[in-house]
Amino acid sequence: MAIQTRNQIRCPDDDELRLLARGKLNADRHATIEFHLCECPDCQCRLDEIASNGDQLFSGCIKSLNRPPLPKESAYWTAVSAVEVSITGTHFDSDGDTLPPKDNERNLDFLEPTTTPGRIGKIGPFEVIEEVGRGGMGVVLRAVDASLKREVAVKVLDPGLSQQKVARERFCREAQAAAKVSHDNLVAVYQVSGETDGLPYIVMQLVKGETLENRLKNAGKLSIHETVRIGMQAAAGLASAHAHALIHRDIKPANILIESSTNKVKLTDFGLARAEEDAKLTRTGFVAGTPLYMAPEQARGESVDARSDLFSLGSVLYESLTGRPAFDAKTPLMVLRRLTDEQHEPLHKVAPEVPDWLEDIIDKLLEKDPKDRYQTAEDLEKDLAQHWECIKQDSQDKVEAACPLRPTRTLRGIIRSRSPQKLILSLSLSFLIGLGFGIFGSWFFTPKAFFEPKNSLTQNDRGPKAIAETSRLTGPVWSIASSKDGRTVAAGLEDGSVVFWNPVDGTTSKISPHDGTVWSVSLDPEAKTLFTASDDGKIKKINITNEGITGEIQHDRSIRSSALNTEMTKVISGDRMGFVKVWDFQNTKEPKQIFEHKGVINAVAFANNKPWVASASSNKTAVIWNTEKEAGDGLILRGHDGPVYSIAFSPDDTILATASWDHNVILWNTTTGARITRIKDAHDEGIWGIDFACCGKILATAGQDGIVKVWNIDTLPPDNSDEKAVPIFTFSWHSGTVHSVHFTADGKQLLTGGRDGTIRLWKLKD
Amino acid sequence: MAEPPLTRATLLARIRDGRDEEAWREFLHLYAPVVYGFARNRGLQDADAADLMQEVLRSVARNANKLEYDPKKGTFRGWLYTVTRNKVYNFLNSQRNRPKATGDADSNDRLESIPDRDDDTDDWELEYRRQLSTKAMERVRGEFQDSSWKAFWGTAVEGRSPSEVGSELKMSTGAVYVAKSRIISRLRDEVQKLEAEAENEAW
Repeated sequence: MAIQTRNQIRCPDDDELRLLARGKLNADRHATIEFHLCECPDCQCRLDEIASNGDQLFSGCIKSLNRPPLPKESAYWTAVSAVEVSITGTHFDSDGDTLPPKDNERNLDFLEPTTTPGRIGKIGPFEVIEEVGRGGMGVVLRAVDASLKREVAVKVLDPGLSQQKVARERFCREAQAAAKVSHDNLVAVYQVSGETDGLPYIVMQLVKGETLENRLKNAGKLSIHETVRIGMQAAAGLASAHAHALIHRDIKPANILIESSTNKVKLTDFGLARAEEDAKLTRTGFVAGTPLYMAPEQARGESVDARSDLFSLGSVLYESLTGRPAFDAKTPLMVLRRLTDEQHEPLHKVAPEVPDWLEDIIDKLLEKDPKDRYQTAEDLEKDLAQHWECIKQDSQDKVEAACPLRPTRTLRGIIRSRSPQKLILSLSLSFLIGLGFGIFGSWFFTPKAFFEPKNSLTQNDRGPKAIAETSRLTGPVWSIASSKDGRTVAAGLEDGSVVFWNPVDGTTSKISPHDGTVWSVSLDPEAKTLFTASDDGKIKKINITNEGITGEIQHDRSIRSSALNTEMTKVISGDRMGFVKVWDFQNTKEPKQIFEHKGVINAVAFANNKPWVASASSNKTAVIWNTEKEAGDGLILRGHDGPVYSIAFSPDDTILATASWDHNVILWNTTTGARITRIKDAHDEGIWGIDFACCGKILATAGQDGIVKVWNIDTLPPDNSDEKAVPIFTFSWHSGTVHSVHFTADGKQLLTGGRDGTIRLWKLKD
Repeated sequence: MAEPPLTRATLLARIRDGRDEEAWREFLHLYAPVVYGFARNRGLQDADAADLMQEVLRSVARNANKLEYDPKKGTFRGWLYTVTRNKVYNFLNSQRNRPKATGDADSNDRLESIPDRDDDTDDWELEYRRQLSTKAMERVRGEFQDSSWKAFWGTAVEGRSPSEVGSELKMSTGAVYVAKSRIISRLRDEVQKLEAEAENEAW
């Protein structure tokens, strides 16, 4: 080929320039024209024109991007959040107080940046781990108090409300009053910060457990035992608060917490309702929130005292026994009218099993005139305690006529999509699990393990101990992988390192390939190659023998989740902006495909054989995407009530299992998107990890409650049944949230890791 | 501008419903900067522009249930523009100590009397497109190499000469032109897509 000089090349025509601007010209021509462009002003101009299609407005717009972003102190920001609050908060919202967090990290921009890995930001001296709730008043965060080395809950006043002096002052004043009272049945308020320039916030005891609201939502109603116990403890908490002239004003199931470890009842949010009312009244002229549990005098806007709290508690106990509110109606205004003018439906009609004495107590609490009610919480507590002494000895069966939680030990709940032949098989061989479906043949669980289910609510037994475990590693474990022979286990840590562990001889070694949490690790069957993905935005392929990096993908922003396909040629990434990208190790520069989910992508997964990938988002959905389609819509799976944290395809790809913050596991039909079944309250707290064993019938989950559970999907109760699903194994030895569960290749053992910084190996089968 | 009235009516219904917080947030994050930016361009100070933005958007929220989409009257964006422009001029007038107009009944009359400066519409459109472009940039940024992006940014956004940017990045001038054209044309596509989405979805 003759040597060309730039000006000798003929000018390309418009079509060719158009292709160039679209990146669709072949490499040779591309190089030639690029070369030519260096010195041909005419073509330079034409290319510019063609790229912007002569759109002057657009070119102007691009130039204006150079304008510096609005400074933090601009009045714009406060104005926007004020509008947001008023637009989205002025409506009479029957469940407005208890909405689960929306797109997590989205409205947390008031947090200061932090350099500590694994934390999402700082407020004052507290390192924030995550958002745990969002309500009318603001956001509740789980955070670490570094000086005392304890976890706390930080309630931050909504930026919109904090601008309102009245709301701000009241928020602080009420919290300070609450801080003076200390009682076992009240959530302790440690500290109130309102004087500084930042947003006011309250630092409280972090109660690990669930709200009564949640429990009612899941269980429908509670037993007489449980109702009396909750009533008694709530009354004790109220008595102590009232003794300090502290009125709650908003007793409702969402403000009654039940601690998992002790089953203790704790009341929260004393007096805060008042600050909220102030704020919303001044803004809109009417009160937001649910009136369902209000006392009549409160509904009429009259003065409120300790006896108003007792009325509200009466409403709560009524609902706890019957599963429905004492004064329910279609609209909030009708509720208000009912509770001022009408009598509640007698308990013995709605729930005949409720003993007379309990009905009398509740009727007395629900008297319209405060003078006719119990006059003090102490009196109520005494009454309840007296009866408690009598009934607590009774057998559970006698009193707990309404207990929906007791597991029934029958084999039901057959997954609908199964063929009749297999159905008969699994019925007749009741404890032969997954027989003949898995690659490794049948599974056998001893009848003992199977027929002695552990109910995590009541169990004292922590289950079998791990057969091997590491000592405490350098940080929380977020991801686990293992080689085919099980002798190499890799774990990704929050500090950016990967630990290799041989469970057989107990040896460990460590490499530090990343600068942020290692969200995902994968190993090839021979443990020669390691794949890692981290918060630092990098995906690495590492030769384990010499620790050399043989492939690296630089994602444009921080990665939150990742997964590798079975052939180990492709990798998916999920980020906090809702993007799911499919990458090929052949071309690490650009993703092969991009799918747009929304929210924070907490987990991604490849199907095993089908050309599918799945993503799980903080927006409560999971989506199955078809990689053979250019782009477009995936199959959206809606049904969780909170962020979806983890997903797993069954080995035959017919089922996708999702685990969520809402405590539930859902199994979906991957073809139709229909829900197969749901394990309601699989854990007492959010579920972080889920994995399928190779046989496709055994599922493991791990949660914030620190517990690892193993389920047989053939014996789950049918969808929507009242029967509680019972795990076939429960391991409760981790001392903190368990983030990751991973079956070994043969499915006989289970690996888990979490916040306590250990990896543990559990035996399921010899 | 092409009008797909059916889909627009659906979103109008979403916002009218009042409980669809997501729809409101979408709306807010698209239009708040546009209203604010327009007010600033007309000479309002930060605090005044922020107040005005609040007023405009709150009034939209308050009146959402009364909004009827009438294709004859133009797009929602056009409507919002008129409302905003009206408020801005009212503000500027009051600043000049002219008698302040009261009530809403005659706002239309006053609107008619305000000369429609050409650059008003342009400014408004520019602000609107700027919002879309910012979003588009976030979306496409990951598709390009760092050096290409820097070449685009240096020339198209910062307005520096391609040869200067090229020598900084160790790229030929030609390569800078190519990188710039590729990103610009990609951004244009994305903005158009967003625009269609905003028209279809946001109103």
